[in-house]
Amino acid sequence: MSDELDPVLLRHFAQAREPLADEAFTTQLAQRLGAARRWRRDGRGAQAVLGTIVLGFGAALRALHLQHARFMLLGAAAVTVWASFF
Amino acid sequence: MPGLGQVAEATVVALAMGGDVEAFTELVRRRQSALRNLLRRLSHDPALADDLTQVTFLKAWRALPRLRSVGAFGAWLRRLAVNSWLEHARSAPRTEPLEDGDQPAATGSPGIEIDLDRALARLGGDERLCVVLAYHEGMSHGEISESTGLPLGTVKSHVRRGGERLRTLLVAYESPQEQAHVG
Repeated sequence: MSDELDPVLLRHFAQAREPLADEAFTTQLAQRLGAARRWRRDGRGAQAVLGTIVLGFGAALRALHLQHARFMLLGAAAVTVWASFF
Repeated sequence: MPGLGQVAEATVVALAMGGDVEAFTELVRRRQSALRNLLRRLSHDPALADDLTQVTFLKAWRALPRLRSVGAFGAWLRRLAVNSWLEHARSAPRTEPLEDGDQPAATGSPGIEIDLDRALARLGGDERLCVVLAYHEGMSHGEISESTGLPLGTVKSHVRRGGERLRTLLVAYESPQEQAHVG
């Protein structure tokens, strides 16, 4: 069987194809796109903060295993608090 | 910078792939009508078709940096639209084709798109998909098989039987000579 199509139906489909105005559609899509981009940007920001917190706690845990290294623990905690709020 | 309206599509696609929102908006302007028409034929619901078209463009924006070639943009976008439709069709409650009593008006009036959509709604889901991709999009049976995951023989059968059924349903739009060839 070939891919040959019915010419009458092809004509019906061609007649039914109508140019659709783009303004309202494009405006609405731009709003959704803007929201998606903001969400992604905010997500990246949250990821950076979370990463810093994890690094801070990691440094703190390492410091706990070192003798006379309480200042490192304090430093890591300070970095963690700073990254969380700023 | 002058508008992108006159710029070749390959260039606009390349810009959009680099994250240029203005270029992507230009692609939306150029392609929205074709995609909305395709999804209207598939869904016979203009509001749903517009929503699925928006979903398709949002997916395209996210996936565009991974597009292999700027020349493949049109076919790639159409595949995203078909996938959006398939995802919707799988997740939505199954709807039966319309009953015989709900015949297309077929009065020879300029409402062919409405009656075509009504007639398409009387086909089964896969049959309608194959007929629309063949007749509306001009895709070959092989391309439809690849896009939908349906076996090639099934695609051929759906296009042939669905086409015959549509001809019968839309017979009032045809000239007497054309009607003589139906059935």
